[in-house]
Amino acid sequence: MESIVRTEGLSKKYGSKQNEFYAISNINMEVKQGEFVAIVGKSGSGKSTLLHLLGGLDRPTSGKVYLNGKDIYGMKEDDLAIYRRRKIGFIFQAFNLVSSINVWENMVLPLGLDGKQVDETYMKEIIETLGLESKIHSLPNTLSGGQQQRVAIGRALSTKPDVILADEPTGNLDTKTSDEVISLLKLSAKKYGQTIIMITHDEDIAQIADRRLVIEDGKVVRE
Amino acid sequence: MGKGLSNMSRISRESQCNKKMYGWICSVLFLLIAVVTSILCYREVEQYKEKIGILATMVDTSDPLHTAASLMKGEETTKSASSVLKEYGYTSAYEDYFKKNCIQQIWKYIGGAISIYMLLLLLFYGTTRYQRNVYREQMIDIQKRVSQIRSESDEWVPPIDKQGEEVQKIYEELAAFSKTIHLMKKQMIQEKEETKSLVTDISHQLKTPVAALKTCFEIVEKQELSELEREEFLARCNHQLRGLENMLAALLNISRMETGMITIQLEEAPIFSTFVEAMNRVYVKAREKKIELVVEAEEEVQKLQIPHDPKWLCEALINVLDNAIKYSTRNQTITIRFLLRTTFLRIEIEDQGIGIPKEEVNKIFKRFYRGQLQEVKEQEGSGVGLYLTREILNRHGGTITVHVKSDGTSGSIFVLQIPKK
Repeated sequence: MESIVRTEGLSKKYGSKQNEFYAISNINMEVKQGEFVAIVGKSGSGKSTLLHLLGGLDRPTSGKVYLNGKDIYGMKEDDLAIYRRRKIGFIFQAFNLVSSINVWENMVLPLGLDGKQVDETYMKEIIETLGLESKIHSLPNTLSGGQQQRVAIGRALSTKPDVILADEPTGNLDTKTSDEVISLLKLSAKKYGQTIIMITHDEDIAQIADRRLVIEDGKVVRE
Repeated sequence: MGKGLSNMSRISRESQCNKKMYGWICSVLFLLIAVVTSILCYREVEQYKEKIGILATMVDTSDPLHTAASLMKGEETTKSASSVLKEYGYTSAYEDYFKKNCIQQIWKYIGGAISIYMLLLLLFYGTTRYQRNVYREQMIDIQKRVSQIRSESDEWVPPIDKQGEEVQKIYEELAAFSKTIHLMKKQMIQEKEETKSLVTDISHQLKTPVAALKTCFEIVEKQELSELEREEFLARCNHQLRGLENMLAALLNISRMETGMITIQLEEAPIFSTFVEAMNRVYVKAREKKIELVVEAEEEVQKLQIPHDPKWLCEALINVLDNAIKYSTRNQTITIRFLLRTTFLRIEIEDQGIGIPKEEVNKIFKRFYRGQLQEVKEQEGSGVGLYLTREILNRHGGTITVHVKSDGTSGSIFVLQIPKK
């Protein structure tokens, strides 16, 4: 398997017979290991749907998604949940940190949920790369937006997933912070050989990715 | 060879250790069973003695009732039971029912003990044998998979089924290992492809100016030209030649970088000095067009030391500044801002020139890409500067992007981000 993420004829349809609507139709895309791909499109173009399907968070109407060679929609629901927890890291626009626990606990949360041991050396290295050493014991509400998103990045990296999916990660951040957070994401990912797929409507930060896919009306118009 | 032998002796030592352990377990088991059996036999004999004792006492007494009562109360039996039996002639075991029973029972105990011991040994042996088989099978499986990794071009995904924890770890390590090798193979192939495409690109890029130069010379050589026309053509030839020179210099840079001849060597150095060096190199061109270079940098930035390769980062900065100057018109201003962020140093280079059309924003960093605007085409350039700059920034773990101005004024803002550590 050359690519770490691959889709075949992926489509998602909403609505009933009379007003059917294809959110995405017949998408064939491939992402190689270690790549940083940005999927760019206006709102309503179908990029969120595509990301949810890539992450096993929804079921396609037709088509397949292969993650590291595995057909993720060929799995049972329970197996898919486990697979998702271990192999996919998520970063959202709204950070989604747990407000009652501190930075460190937020970052190792996915490991705890999976009953896995924390690799302390690795985590400390990530924390250093993200510039969060002085904030390990702080609660999320004491952090700035940019800092919170860094914590989210650390959390996504903690499980050493096959792929990291980022949904408008800079939506809640100002321009300069956005630039920095995405550059940091790229730097960290390169360091650990992670693959990133990011959806965004912001053309400026899409430039930081290695490759851009433009999506329009549910179809990919490559660039 | 030596390693193999020492490995073998280590393995035989290990199996000797195992044998010792087995020996210990067998002996301890034997001891345990022997002790339990002895205790049971002893009890049996005691019981027999008690029975005989009671019998002898009853036989020997003149008042059976009284004797029985006192026995019930737990009083001791009189004299030695065997001497009483002898008196009455019960000497051999054949005639002593209780003795017979006792002896039979003892034999039963011994028999049972031996059987149990045998059974346990068998069980023990059976399980170790089974474990060893399973282990051997796993080893053979691992062996097969290791040779698979070597020979196959495809990556290998490990079995997820339940194995022992240690074996599972080995499988996971092997999977990671196979991934690494696979990645290396891919990298090698990719590098080869990149070199091929680079060579193709270079020859393509050189063909055009060389052909134009050739034509120019041919015209000057062969055609009947007036003095003025001749001068004009010679000037054109010159122009082509200079363009060719620039192209070659740029190509040399790229090919060195791409084939790894030149590596980025990071050293802690004052970034501002690197910047000043770049400024010095472009200053003259700016002055020619009466373009003002404004620098906004806090004091702490001016003293800042960050790990970078001064030579290459200088080149990168020169490329961006050069472009800014090239595509600005006379009397305009170029502003360079230094901002210290959390992880990165942010350098903004803003010009007021012709700007970059939205559609081209993502293409300008591509190798050999030249803008479509008329003004760009008129300028000299090889389309390589920004490509090189991006490569250099990437290798520093940084980024370069271009922002179209939000306030609608003309020009572009190039944003460079370099990690502070």
